[in-house]
Amino acid sequence: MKKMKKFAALLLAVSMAAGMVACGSSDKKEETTKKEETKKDDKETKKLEGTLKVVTTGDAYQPLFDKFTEEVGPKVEFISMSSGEVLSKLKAEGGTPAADLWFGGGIDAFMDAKDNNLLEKVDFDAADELAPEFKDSDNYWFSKGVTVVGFIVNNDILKEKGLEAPKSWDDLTKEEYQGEVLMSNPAISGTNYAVVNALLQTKGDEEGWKYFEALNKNVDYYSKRGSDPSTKTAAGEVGIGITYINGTLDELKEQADVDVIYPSDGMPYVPEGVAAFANADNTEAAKAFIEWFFSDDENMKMMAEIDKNNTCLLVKPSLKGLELNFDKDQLMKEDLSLFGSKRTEILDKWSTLMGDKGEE
Amino acid sequence: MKNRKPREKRASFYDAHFYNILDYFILAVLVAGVLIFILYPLLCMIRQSFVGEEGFSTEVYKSIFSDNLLLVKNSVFVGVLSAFFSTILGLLVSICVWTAGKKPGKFLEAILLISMVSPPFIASLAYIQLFGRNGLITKGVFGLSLNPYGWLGVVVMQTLFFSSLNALMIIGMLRKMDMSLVRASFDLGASSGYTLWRIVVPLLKPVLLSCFLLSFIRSIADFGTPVVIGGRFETVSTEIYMQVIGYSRLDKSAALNVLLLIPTILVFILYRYLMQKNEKVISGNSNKTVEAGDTFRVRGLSAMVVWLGAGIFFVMMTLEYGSIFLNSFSRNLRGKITFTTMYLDALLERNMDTFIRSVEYALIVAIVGSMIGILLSYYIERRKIKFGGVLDFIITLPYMLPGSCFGIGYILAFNHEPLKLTGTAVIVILNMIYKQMSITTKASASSLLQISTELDAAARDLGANKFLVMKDVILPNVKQAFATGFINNFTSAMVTAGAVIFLVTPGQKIAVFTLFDCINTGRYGEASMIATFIIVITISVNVLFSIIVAWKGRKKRVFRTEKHK
Amino acid sequence: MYLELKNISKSFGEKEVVKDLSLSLPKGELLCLLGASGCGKTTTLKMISGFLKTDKGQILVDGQDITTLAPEKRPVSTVFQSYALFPHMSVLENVIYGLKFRGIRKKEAREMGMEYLKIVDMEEYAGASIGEISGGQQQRVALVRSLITKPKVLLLDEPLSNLDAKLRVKMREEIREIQKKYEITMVFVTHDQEEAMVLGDQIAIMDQGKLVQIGKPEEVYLHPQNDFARDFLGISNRFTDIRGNTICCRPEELEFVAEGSVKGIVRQEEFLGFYRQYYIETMNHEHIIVRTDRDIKVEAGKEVQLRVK
Repeated sequence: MKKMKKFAALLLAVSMAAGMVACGSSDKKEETTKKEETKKDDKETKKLEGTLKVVTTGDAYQPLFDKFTEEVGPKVEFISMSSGEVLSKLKAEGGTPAADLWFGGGIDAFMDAKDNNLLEKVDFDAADELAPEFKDSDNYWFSKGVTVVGFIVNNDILKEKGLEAPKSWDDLTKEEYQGEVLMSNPAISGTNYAVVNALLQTKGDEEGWKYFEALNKNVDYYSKRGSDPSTKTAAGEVGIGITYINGTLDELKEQADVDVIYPSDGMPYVPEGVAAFANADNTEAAKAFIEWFFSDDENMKMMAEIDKNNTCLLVKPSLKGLELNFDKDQLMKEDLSLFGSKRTEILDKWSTLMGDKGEE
Repeated sequence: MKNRKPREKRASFYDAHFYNILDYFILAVLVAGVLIFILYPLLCMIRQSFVGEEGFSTEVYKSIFSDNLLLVKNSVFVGVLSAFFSTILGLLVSICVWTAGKKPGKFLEAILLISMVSPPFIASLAYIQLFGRNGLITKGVFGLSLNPYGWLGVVVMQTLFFSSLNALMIIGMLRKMDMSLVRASFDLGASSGYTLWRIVVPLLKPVLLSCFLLSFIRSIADFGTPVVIGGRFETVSTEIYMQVIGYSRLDKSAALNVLLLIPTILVFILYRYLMQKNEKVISGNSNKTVEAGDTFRVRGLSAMVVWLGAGIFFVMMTLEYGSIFLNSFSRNLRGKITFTTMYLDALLERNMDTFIRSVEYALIVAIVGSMIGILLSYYIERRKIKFGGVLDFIITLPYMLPGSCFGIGYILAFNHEPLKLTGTAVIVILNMIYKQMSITTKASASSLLQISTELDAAARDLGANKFLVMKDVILPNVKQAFATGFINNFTSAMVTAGAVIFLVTPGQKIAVFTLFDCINTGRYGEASMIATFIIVITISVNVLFSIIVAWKGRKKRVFRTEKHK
Repeated sequence: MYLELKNISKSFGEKEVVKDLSLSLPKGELLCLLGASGCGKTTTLKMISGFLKTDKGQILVDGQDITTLAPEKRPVSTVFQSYALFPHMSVLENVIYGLKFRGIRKKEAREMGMEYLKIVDMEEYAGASIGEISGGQQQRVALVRSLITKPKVLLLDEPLSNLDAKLRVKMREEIREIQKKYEITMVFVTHDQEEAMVLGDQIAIMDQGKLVQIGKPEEVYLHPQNDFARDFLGISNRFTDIRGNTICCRPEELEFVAEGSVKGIVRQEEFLGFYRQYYIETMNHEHIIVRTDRDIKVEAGKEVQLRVK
């Protein structure tokens, strides 16, 4: 009886301490199974198994991942994160990334990651068919398409204020649009970083910065999420948003009287990267995915369908059956190599000039 | 009795040692937990701020003060205002609920409980929808076009949001109040208003202080609200967010976190000091009796003040949650609002795995977290272990800092052997547990205060050792603290994502992530639907749990010391 | 001696609460520790029970030095002022709580518990919860909860202070009865001098942390060692007689006479049932209280003379 009680007391104590003790042990279990999985992959390289963990920009790519599982083998698990989050996480992980593949996100983050040795080189035959300006010369990153930038305007709001819709980047700085333009902080939004970088390249540094100082007068504040300019314009919070142009705008068109405008003086763009993480659990699967994706036109078309965006044609000019929904010449002339290298410098200057911190 | 000789009053030698060892073992495990899962990750995070291009560097600290002084000012400015107004509003709401009578009181409390569950960003988005430049209320009803972005918007949102928890904390205190004091005041001829402001409110001072501190800490650690409606108004927290998400500068964000700690620690010390001063006053007044049937009604001007404050709160909450609910079932098609089930369909089409996983995690966090919290507060508050104050401070730290900091600290700390946890579910759960630990320890500390120390003394006097005192006397009497801990842990595990956003791997997505996804891609309808779903699940579990606790409690009547009979 | 305190001292910070206190008690006797609040009596009790550590000195029970033992290992038990009954346990569960640390089987413990509850006439409440029973009943439960562990010394910390006057008298009789019947060595802390006189085999008067006097009630009452002891135990008068001597005496030790050692005027007269009480102002404007047989009646305002019996 007494022993029983003692036992019960011990049991109680153990269950109390379970928080840590149990956590520790169950973790080990999980880890060992994980190790076993990777071992298995090593042995039978050709029949791919295991899980491919993907960091991507949204949950719309499910059908594409399903197709990969069906044709190649590995189960796909994915999570959405912004490029900045991915980079911060990668840096903190100290070379032990929790994911295998990075699918989508502004190319400057990929360049940064490559410089920090966080990416894996992926060589495959079809890589030669890709336009050289949209891939890393050493095959550390590729592009799945480009994001082009334009305006979204809310016709109700403009009508109310008696304003014409802007036609060009230069129009945006007109005094009449004061308080009506919304742009995302370029540090957060790859899209708006592309705007800054491209306009600086097009106009030259001096003219370029003058332009943004003029634009600054019309912008109440720079939103801290990439989707804000389009959604807030649709909600009537502002009249004009500087936004990526893709399929999500179609839903907004249904909800509000908004129009998408392709600026007449050129559209900035930013390639959407694809890369395998270095030192990942299942690098094999990540490499297989990249090869699979770029080698079969059907896969790229499927993505174009999902994105409602045919810019993968720019990446792989040999693609058949797709047409660009804008004139290629409308794209601004950009030297993409400057995207990564000049990022810190540009953002620093931008935040000083635009006073994004400091104004009350 | 005479024929039995008094025996040695103690159990066998082995018994005593066994339990003493057990006692020390549990304490050791608890302390180790706090050191490993709170202090160590935070140190790892802080160490980042000293990592330069070539080894150790204090580079980022050189200009951190001069560069960010304004941000610190902004943080403190909004923090003080939000804390002040949310404490006041919480007080008014709690008095309203307390004096509303049984049934209306229960109803208002239910609204309060719902308003505790606030999925990230959603509330701020609802606010903009209602009060923005094109807001349904500001423009639709009043024809105004206001600019809601800026510090005022942040203060308003935080005030509303923090008031719920404050009100619940104050209600708890009001229910425990010695009503004889109120009767005495009436007896001596005071009006209800005078009694309220001069007797009731001063007695609430300790809990009002706690509310103020808690709200201040929450405000300056909050980045979600200023990111969505701050406009150009920036705080240290939004800058940390920018450094992490925009620039991927772990060193700078770490240094900013250290910077943020300064005002927080100052307020914390001030709070401890004021609380200690207060404790002396209160502990002089023991032997409280609770008598059923005591009611308190406020009349006249005071009633108007209370009802105005509480009214604003309840109307705002109803509007906010109403609009979230409405958004999940309707589409605004070019000005025409039409009913739709497309967001519900989209939700049901989705993998329900994320919701199931969320609930699983939240349950583990709620149960294990509350247990650990109660045990910790027992050792700190009751057993007065050495360095208990330091331990308590460490426990409070994760709550004081923006979530991203604690999350990154976890990755840095646990990405290598011997404690490689990254990529597992364990790291996510541990992070959730320890992030919210201080709420449980605070709640159970105040529960412990309700248990007379003579009970411990009696048990020990009868031969129970320290471990058995805890098992036999303390744990059965902290049910209320367990309930508070459970509900808080469960709720926050369901709705917060700041810390775990960096820890969750593709295989373990939880419901808030789906919500983030939708918000980030601008699908607010779907986001509202997910939020509605999260709110419904969380409320259901919390209510179910409360019913179980109440049902179990009914078996034993409430204890009270009877003075005269 | 069964219980011995040797030169114990205790300070809280700067303040010395118990100063070099020594006292002893033979087996089976009841000691009342009497003093005003803050005199150190409860602190002394807590040092015996082990909830406070002594700064200096020794505590012995039955020859065993218990000064450094943990509370749960001391052969003493306390009945607390608030009773400290566990609210989540039934009456019987409370009573037998201490038995489980003495290696007694549950069944046997329950039987013993019932037996003890019988002593205080509480056996029918065995299954009741603590909130359901009255204050006096809680007091009884607390008492047997301690008794059942067969402590060598039972400590009671103002156990009757939460009861009304009538119940207090009844309970103190019960306690006295049980104490005598089972020859329990007890230390009873109180600030009520009547309680102390009725209950104590010995009374120890404490003041400002020091022991003023210890002895049998009669001894202490009749032969107080100093003014404090006299003042504390009952009412006492202090006045100057006609020869200029300072006289100290109890009210009942004075009587009205034709020619006495002190003169005065009756200021007030009270009828208190079995005696009368007079308030007298002497020629030197000192105030004296006199108690007389109820048959002796003197009008207020009258001049009287008094002498010590």
